[in-house]
Amino acid sequence: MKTRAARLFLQNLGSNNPVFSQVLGICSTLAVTNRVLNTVVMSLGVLYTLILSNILVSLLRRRIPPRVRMMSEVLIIASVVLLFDILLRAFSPEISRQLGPYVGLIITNCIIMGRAEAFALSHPPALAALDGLSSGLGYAYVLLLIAAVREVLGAGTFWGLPIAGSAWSPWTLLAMAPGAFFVLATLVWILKGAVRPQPATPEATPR
Amino acid sequence: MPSSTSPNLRQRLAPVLFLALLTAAFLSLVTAAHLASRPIVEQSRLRYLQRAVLEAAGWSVPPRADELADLFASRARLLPEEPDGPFAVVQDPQGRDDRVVFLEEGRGLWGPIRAAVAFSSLEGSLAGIAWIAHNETPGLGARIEEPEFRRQFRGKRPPLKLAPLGRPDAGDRSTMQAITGATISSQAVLELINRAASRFKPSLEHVAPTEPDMILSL
Repeated sequence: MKTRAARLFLQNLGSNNPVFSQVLGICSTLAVTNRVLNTVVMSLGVLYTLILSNILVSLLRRRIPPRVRMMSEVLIIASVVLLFDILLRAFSPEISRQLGPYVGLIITNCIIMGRAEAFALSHPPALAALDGLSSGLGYAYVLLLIAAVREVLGAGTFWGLPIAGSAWSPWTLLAMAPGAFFVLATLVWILKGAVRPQPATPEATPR
Repeated sequence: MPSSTSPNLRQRLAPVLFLALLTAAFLSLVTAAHLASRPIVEQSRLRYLQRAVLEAAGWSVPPRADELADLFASRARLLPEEPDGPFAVVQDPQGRDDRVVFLEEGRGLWGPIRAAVAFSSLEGSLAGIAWIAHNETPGLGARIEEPEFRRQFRGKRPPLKLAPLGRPDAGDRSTMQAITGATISSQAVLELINRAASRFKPSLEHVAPTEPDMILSL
C-alpha cells in the first residue's frame, strides 16, 4: 500500500504530471502565470479543490448512480470552488480582486474533473486525497516555474518587488497570454526532450 | 403488470432523487457559508469604496483599516443621494480645492468596472480615478490598475477620446492612451469617464466649501 501510494505520488509529480505530461489545465496556466503571487493563490485553490473534491467523490462513489455520475462530480466540484471563492472574498479580498474571474474558472479546470472521474470514483478516500495532493502539487510547481520566468522577464519584478534595475526593459510579450505559451512550450521541450527523453515510436524510426 | 413497471420506475427515479438530494445538500452548505461571511465581505466592500474615493481625490491611502476610516471621516463629505448627483466632496491633499467625486460604472470584458471619478471644482478638470471593483483579465485589462495608466487622467478635460495609435498624447488634454491588447477595458474606462464628466457640470451647485461640522462618515 505504502509503495503504491509513493508511486502514485511521484507519478503525478513527474511522468504523469497534469500540465506537462497530460497537457491539462492550460487555460489557467496561461491566465494566472503573469504574477507569482496570483499563481500561488490559484495553485492553492486548485490544490484545495482537488483534495476536497476527490475525497467527496470517493466517499460517495458507491452511492452515485452511474447515469448521473458526471453531473454529481460537477456539482461537488462547483460547490467546493464556490466555498473557496467565498472564503477568499471574506479573508483575502485583495487577492480575490486580483484573481477576478479565474477563481470561478477553477470549476472548469480539466485536471479536477479528470482526477475525480479517472481516480477518485474507483479508489478509497485516503488514496483519492493523496492523488489530489500530488496532482495539485504537480500542477503548482509547473505553474510557479512559468510564473517566475514571466514575472521576472515580463515585468522586472518577483512577488511584486522590483528586482531588475531601471535599465531593464520588460519583455511585454511575456506578460501577455502568448508569452505563457512560449514559456510552457520551452518547459515541456526541456522536460520531455532533455531531462526525460521519450522512446522513439516505430513510425518515427527511420527505415 | 404493476410489479414489472415499479422497479423500472424506481430505477429511473433513483438518479433524479439522488441528484436532487445532492444539490440540496451542497446548495445549503454554500448558502450557509455565504450568509456567514456576508458581514465581513460588506466591510471590505466599504473599505474599497472609501479607498477609491480618497485615491481618486489624490490622497495616498493608509494600509490600515482604522486609519483609512479616520482619513475618510475627516476629509470626505457625503452628499445627499440624487440621480446623477455626485457621491461625495473630498478636500484635496493641499487644502486648496474641493474634489467632486462620482461613482460610475463601465462595461468591461468580464463584468462591470466600477470606479470613483474625481473632478477639481476649481479647475473643472479631472483630478483622478480609482477602481472600486472590476474583473478584467490579469496582465491585460487589469493593467488599468497600474499607477502610470491612472496618472494620465490628472488635469485632463473630458469628453476624452482615445489617442491615435502610435502617437503619444503629451500635452493633449482631451485624449487618453489605451492599453495594448485590452481594447474593451480601455473603451469602458473612456466611456465611464465621459459619463461622469457629463454629470459633473450640472452638479457644481451642490459643492460648497467643506465645513468641519458637516463632515460625515459612511
